[in-house]
Amino acid sequence: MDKSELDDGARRVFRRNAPVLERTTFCADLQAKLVGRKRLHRPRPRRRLLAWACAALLLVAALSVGIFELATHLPGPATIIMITDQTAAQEPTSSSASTSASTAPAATTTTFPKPLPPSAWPYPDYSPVPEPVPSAQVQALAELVAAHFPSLELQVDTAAEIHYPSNTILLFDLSPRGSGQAFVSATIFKSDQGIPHPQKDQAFEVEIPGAAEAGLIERAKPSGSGYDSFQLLAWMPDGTVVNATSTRTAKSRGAEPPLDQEGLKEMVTYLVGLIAGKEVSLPDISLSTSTTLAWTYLPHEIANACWGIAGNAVSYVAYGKKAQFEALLVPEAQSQADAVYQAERERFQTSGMSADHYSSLYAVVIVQWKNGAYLTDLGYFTQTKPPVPQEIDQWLEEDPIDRAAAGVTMWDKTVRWLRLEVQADESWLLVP
Amino acid sequence: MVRLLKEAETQAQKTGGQFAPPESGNGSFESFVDLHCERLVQCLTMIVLDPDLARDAAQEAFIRLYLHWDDVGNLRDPVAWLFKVGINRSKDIRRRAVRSARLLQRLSLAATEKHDPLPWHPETSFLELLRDLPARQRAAAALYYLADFSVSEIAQVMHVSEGSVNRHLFRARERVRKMLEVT
Repeated sequence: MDKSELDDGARRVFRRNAPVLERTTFCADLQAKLVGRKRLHRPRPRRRLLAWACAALLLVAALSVGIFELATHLPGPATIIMITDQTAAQEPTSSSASTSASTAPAATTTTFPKPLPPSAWPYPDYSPVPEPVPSAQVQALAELVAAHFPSLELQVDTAAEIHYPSNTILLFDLSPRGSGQAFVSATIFKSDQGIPHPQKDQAFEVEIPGAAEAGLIERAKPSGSGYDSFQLLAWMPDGTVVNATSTRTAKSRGAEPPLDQEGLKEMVTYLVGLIAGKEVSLPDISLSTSTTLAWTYLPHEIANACWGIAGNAVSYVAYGKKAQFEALLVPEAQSQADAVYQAERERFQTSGMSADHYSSLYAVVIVQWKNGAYLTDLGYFTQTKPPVPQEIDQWLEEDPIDRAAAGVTMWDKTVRWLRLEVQADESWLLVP
Repeated sequence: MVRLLKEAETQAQKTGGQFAPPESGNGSFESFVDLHCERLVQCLTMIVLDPDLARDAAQEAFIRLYLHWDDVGNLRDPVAWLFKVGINRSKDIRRRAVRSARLLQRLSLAATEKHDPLPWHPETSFLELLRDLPARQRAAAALYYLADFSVSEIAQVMHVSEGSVNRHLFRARERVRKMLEVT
């Protein structure tokens, strides 16, 4: 039997012995099983391909935007540090103030969130900062500088003194007539520590006649700031610091800062010469020894500790965790812990607060009384004095070193002030 | 395969109009079922040696076909796809049945028969032949002699190389030769 005969025989045997299917029953069963089943509609290959292409395109676009944003916000190797006056920077009350305000982000973004070292002058030792006071002497100095660059047609926008408890800063702003978006500014103050380190680290040394040391910070286009600036700091042998900047904002695209590097050097040289030669009469800017600048703002370790305790306390009350809340109280308050917890719980519930609302709590403001002024966490800049209740003020003032207060804005917009006291192990606990 | 399709078409013409699955937007699925249901059940019966299991597996294969009809329509060989799914489903059902049987045995319960058993009364010598054949040789032989699949189609269905199919068929053919010589 050859292969084909064998295959034919096998085929006949297989067919003969195959079961007979009752098609009607089979189809009826199948139909019953298909009831309620829906076909899975998938897009046709071309449409599917198109959909995948769109998704890939969107992904690439999102990634590109993300990478661009990341690159934009990464600190560059030579991020500019603008030393400007805080008041002028944050309280734009006139056209000149607004131009100064535009320099503020450069000053703050480079220092957040690190605590400022003692030498990082001229950040004030308290918040809010004082108002600038118009000064005829500074106005005369500014006009001399403007006249030194006749081709720029500079006009004086601001000429003021800012009086801090420790010393005084002189400030003036000049802008080319009609530009509006570019300006030259200078601050003059005393420092016994030379050029502040953050700026010194980023500056390259330049020669300014009459100055003990001078540094130029150059950053053509600092990422994220939108400015195009040069900054030059000169420290004179008598401790006077001349801090000058030449800036244009992003809105004045195509324009250059009013003074280039050489122009800025010429301006600082001119100013140093005027001040050293006493050719102008200036207000007293000598340092006061009555105030010690330990920290410029509330140190972060304190702010973070207080923020943590206040936040935990609120969450424990909100979630009804009595034992955890009581553990946050100072030892001397443990005897009345139960009553304190119940009172807080009742107070929070009355305000409409619930555990669901906890995540919606507003920022906690930390204040600590020191040297007659409030300290605020750098993360929570306040331009005006926080509305601290009088009893909290008084309580803080009694022991300014070891006490702090945290204001928690509750669900009903009221602020619950919590008293905090540092313990022997440097931890902070709640005082009822 | 061509012969099978022609046979099935003829049968479908004879028995046409019996099947009406729900929500069927076009008639191609019904005709496809009509064309291939009997041969699929027969092949699966020979492979798994259980006509009821074969019928269930065939129905599940058609259900999957129905659910994925849009995709299957784009396949180069939807019939091969159907048989492949049918064989895989039969294996799944058998595994499931073994597990269920063990469970019922532990619980001292008897399995209840859901359907009328599919009548299948093969010749004794043929049934012995099938039982003697290993599962893969049995599957290759059933697809070759009953479904008229080519070697390459069988390779596609069984997910093996054509050489393997030829080896399975060779050994199955030798067993069939012995059976035919005896009878």
